[in-house]
Amino acid sequence: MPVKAIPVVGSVLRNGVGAFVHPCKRITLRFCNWGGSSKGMRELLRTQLKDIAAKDPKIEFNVLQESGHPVIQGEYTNGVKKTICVRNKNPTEILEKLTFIKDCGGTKLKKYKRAVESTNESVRGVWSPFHVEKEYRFKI
Amino acid sequence: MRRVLGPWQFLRKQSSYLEAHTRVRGRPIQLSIAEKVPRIRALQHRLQLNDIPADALARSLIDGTSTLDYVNNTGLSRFGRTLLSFYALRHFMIKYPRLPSHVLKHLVHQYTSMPALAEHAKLWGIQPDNRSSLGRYLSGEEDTDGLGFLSYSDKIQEVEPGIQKIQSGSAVTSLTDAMGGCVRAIVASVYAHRGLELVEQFVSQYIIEPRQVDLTQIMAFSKPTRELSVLCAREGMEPPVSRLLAESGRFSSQAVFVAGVFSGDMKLGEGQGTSLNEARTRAAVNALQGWYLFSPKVSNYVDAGEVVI
Repeated sequence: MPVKAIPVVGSVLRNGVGAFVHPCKRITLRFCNWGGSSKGMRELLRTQLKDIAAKDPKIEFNVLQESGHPVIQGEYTNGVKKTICVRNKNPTEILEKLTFIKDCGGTKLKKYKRAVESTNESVRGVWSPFHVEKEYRFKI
Repeated sequence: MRRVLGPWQFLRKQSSYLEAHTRVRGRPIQLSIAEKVPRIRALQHRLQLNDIPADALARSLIDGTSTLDYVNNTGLSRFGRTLLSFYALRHFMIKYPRLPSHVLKHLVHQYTSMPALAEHAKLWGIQPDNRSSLGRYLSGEEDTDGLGFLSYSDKIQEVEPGIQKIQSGSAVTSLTDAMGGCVRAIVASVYAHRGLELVEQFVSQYIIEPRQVDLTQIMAFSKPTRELSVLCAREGMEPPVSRLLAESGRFSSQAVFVAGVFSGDMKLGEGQGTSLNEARTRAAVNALQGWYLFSPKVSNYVDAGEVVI
């Protein structure tokens, strides 16, 4: 057979092309029933937990009672866990942190050096010195 | 004389037939229980499968090797495999009608093989729970607590720290196979509750479109120049001629040549290499890739077939 099929080395799975699957799969809200640093968290859980969970049915919410500072932990589909300590924070501030955990993609924060990063090959192609018109070529 | 069966006898005969020919073990999952499992509800909403009953999704997550006392996804995943390979094959056959059949089959495999599907399962947030039934019993859990996790028996078991025992047989499986199997089963459940047209949409949206495969990488040509000349003869075009377009440093250690392959006035392909022969070969490969990866705008395109040299 003149044409042979060979194994592909790098095939990329792009979330958001075709369908988007929300990367945050589970959020655990940890609070202490006694400690003063959990006061805001306790209030949030008492008053707003139902609304928060109902608003995002695609995320599994767990509430954990444990001694220590209150903590919000998000688990993502790429296996990363992000944890934020929300000690001595009021419900509004905690809600901000919760939104951050919820909307995160689960990747490590990094500085993007280019305006566009893509897995696609450049449409223009690699620059080649041979395809420049003769009069514009660099001459020694 | 043929005996006519009464309804009751007929039913009894049917049920004994079913018992003998189905390998359903375990009890069915109750919808009322499955609906209350938060993991399953979250999965339903994450994949926008709100119309698929929770018990069907819960069943899709139970592998054939699971120790849970529930029905498993063996049948679903077998059927889902057929659906997946059919729709993937159809998609690429319409999109790239000139691909040779073995390359097409290979391409479909890139999308529907177990490792590929396992990646999808991971992206969908499916998590394994491979504890033994004894482990679950000791932690005081019931079978309902295992719902919503991917349940299977792993073939790699840690006997003591640092020593792993790898088992074989049908009672155990690998994580990749279990993850892939549950994606197949979910596809089959979508078919069961939405029908053929919508399962095609689901497969294309969630399985085919997200994956990016570089198609120029999946083909290798053994004799590209000869194949191109046979192709031109078959298509009634002038025989291909390679011409040097540009060169640099012919007598240096790092020579670069750019060659183009032409049929009459038509430029078929272009390639560059460190020798004249390499540039010529690359140009022919470029032309052949352009031929095989042609994608028509109308879907009822019929191709003349593979080039035989």
